[in-house]
Amino acid sequence: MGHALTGMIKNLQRTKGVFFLLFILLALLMFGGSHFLGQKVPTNRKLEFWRTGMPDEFTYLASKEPEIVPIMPTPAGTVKESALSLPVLLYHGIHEQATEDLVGWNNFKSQMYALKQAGYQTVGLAEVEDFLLHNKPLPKKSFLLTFDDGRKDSYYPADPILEALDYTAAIFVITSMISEENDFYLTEAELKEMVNSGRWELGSHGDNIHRSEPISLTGDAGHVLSNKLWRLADGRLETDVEYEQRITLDLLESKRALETRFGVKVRAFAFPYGDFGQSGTNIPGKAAPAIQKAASAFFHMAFYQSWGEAIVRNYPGMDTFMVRRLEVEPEWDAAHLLAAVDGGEDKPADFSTRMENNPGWTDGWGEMNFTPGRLELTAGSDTTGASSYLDGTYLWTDFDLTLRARLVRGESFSILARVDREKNFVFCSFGPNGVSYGEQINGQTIEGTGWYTDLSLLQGLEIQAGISLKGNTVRCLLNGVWSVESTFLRHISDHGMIGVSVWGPQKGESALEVISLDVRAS
Amino acid sequence: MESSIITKPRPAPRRGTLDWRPYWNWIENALYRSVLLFLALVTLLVIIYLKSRSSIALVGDPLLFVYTVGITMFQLSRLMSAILYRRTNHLYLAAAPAPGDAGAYEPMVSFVIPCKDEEAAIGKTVTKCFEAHYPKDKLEVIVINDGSTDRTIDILRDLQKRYDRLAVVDWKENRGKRHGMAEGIRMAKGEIIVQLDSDSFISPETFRNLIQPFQNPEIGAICAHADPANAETNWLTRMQAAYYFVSFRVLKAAESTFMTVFCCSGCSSAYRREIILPILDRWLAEKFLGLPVTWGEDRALTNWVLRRNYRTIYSEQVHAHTICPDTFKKFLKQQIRWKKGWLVNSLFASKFIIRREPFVAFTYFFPLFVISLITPFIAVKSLILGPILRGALPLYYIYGVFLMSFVMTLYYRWISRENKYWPFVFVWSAINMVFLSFVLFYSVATIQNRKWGTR
Repeated sequence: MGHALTGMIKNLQRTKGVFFLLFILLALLMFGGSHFLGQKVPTNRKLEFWRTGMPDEFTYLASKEPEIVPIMPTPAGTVKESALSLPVLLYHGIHEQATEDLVGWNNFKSQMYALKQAGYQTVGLAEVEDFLLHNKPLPKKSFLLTFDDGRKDSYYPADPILEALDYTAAIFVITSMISEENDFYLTEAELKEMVNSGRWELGSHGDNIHRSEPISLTGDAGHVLSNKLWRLADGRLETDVEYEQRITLDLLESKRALETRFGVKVRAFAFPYGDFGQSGTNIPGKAAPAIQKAASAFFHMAFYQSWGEAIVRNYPGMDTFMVRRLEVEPEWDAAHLLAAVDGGEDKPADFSTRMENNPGWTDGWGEMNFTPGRLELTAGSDTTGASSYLDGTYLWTDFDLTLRARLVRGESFSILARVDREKNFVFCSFGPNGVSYGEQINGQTIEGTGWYTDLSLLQGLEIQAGISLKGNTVRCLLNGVWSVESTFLRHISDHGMIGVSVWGPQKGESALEVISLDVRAS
Repeated sequence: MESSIITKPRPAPRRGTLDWRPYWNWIENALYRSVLLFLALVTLLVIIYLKSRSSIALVGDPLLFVYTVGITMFQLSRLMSAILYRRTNHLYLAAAPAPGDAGAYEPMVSFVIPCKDEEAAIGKTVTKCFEAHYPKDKLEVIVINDGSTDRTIDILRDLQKRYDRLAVVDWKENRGKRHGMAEGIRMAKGEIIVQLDSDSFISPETFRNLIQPFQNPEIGAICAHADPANAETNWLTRMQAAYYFVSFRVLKAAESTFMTVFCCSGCSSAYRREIILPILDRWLAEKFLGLPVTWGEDRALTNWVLRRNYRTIYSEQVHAHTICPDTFKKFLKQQIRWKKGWLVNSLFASKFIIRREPFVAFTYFFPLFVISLITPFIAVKSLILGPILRGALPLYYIYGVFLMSFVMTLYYRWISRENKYWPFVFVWSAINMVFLSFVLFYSVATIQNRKWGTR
């Protein structure tokens, strides 16, 4: 038995050794294999993940099908309808922690998840073009996601989230920055990988116009797309022809570079800095049309940033070289973004609110403050008044609108309608000289006839005011009495947003509270 | 097939013609195994691929990643261990010489069978004991009638007329399985105690293989390979047939590789009497949270054998048959009882296993304990919370479970081409995935309920 015993113990020891070796081999195979296969994902993305933390539930990432059930399902029947309007979102880089102008990764993640759960789906540039130019239907809750500059910190943090949520995005690339090796901008190989993934579309952000250069003798720097450059050698500014030629060739080159390198069709352009000639330029009034002309020669759409614009969304039939994008600010959380996107959803013109929650009042001029129960407009310290617009009313045409409001301070307030880009609208004004209607055309006010009663007595009291529009006629309402019908002084758009504003002669000295709003389509 | 438990007699070759059958069999078998190997390799690659996917997805949740890789490694290591089973156990598994052969090892053997209300099964159980291919004068059977209310005792008295080496202890009141076993062991004259459930029996022709390994003085207990005799009843019993095969021929064999089987199952195991006799009182008196432990007596007894520095093995060469629950309710009750037995006895075993067998403690015992306790929580998180809170399908989880079942099934098919219940491994996995968590939670919640609650 002794022999058998030592045999057993020896055998056992050896088997332990074999088991241990096999175990190590298996461990190497598992971890090494995982690592090797994991290499298909670029390393820095994985590093980024280690640092930033991944979504809560990994299975979430795997479960691309079936679709994630919306938390707030849209009422049955409405889903199939086409969208009336399209929000476009803009991000630049996504960073681990939010910076002054970059959104934080966790925030971006929750914003995308929130949109997904609210039922929003991304659309591609071709679909956007068909929608805006040809009014081809889009799913009701669509949006376009865009990134500017072609940066690594857009792609690596966002891509896994897009993959998980089945989203796509367009990235506007500065083509002169595409190279073999770069720490900040995406390289050619990376862009190819993005295009191949099917999740990313490329657009132009110009070839070499995302910068500033001297635009005067004194060497003031200006955006090179919207300014004539100072030709130091010649001691003069570029001529019209030189300027137009320069920007045209740049846009052509950017399109050519993308199309030849990546074999894609480039249909969209994003203005560098969102500057389409509207801001400081040494050729005021000339830059915008020149840029428009150059862009329209090569592209079908051009995008800008609608900082602070009252309206978020884009509508079919609008100028496709002025597609507005909502640039997401680092301090916005998911709820804020979702409210901004939802707020722009088109409302039926039969609409009532007791101001329980904000149906989409957006900040215009001065300061706006929404508290449940009322909308407050207050002149800022350097403005004489304030205004706010109700997003999602751009398509409203004919209606009777009444509201209850209180002029807390200041001289007068107005109800605005058919607002287009805040420069064109028709209004009823309620002030010390009574009720009057008027129009604003391209920023110029044209006073219409008035209905003179002294309203200064009503200051501080809650009053009923209203406006009624039918075709090109307008009526104003005060405390149950409608004015006679007047015809527009000049014919402006047959639709547009509604809004309210308050005004006083002194800066910071006007305030208005709006308590309720009732609109009936007519 | 060298590995099959049941070997079919090969038909005699026809005279005059060259018989290709043996060659064809050899080729066919080689082909069959190559396919299994190939599938195993592919599955391993798929598993690695899935892990690589989740390694990316799980970076923010390193603990979950360690869990998923850990559990896969653990399961594969069990498989590896099972593959090495014959390597260490072959000395004991060799077929025993026929009775009467010179030098045959034939110690006195006592069967101990506690029973309660087993009028239908006890006759067969006792008869099969006496049919064992073993010298009749070296066998005795002790049945403890533990307060049966049916005709069990009448049947036993009848049997006694036929078998004079059958002893019956007749208790009017039910005292519990542990007490019955202890009584039987105390009465036994045999050097080896074979403990049987009242509805189990050992194939008489394989019986000697259960005794043979005791020649080695280090061996303290041997667990027979058990299959449900009622496997064909319904899908639940078929599923359990697959489960028994895996848990004996893979999981117990894996424990046996290092000669440390933690549970010589109550349905059919053999013990060396001199080891368990001195600890019977302590075994009977075992308490958990102040109350006597009424389940897992087999595990507890095996624990004692291990604690006394003896080795325990499983033998695929001893073929036992038992009856498995045929309704889901009974099945769940049994699972709960086993789960409780496992939990309590694992806690007991954790006190001595590091000292006794550190290799097994760290490569198997503690990992199993930790994984078994974590898995229900992960299962609830992935299968319930994820889908409800996030609408997230637990795809990785389900893929993982089924890939491991697939690997298991390939090994199953490798060991035994005859056992036809292998598709039910997947059924078992699915049921286990859904119920396992609840069984553990329920078992922990009702751990103070010490009713035996068996069939």
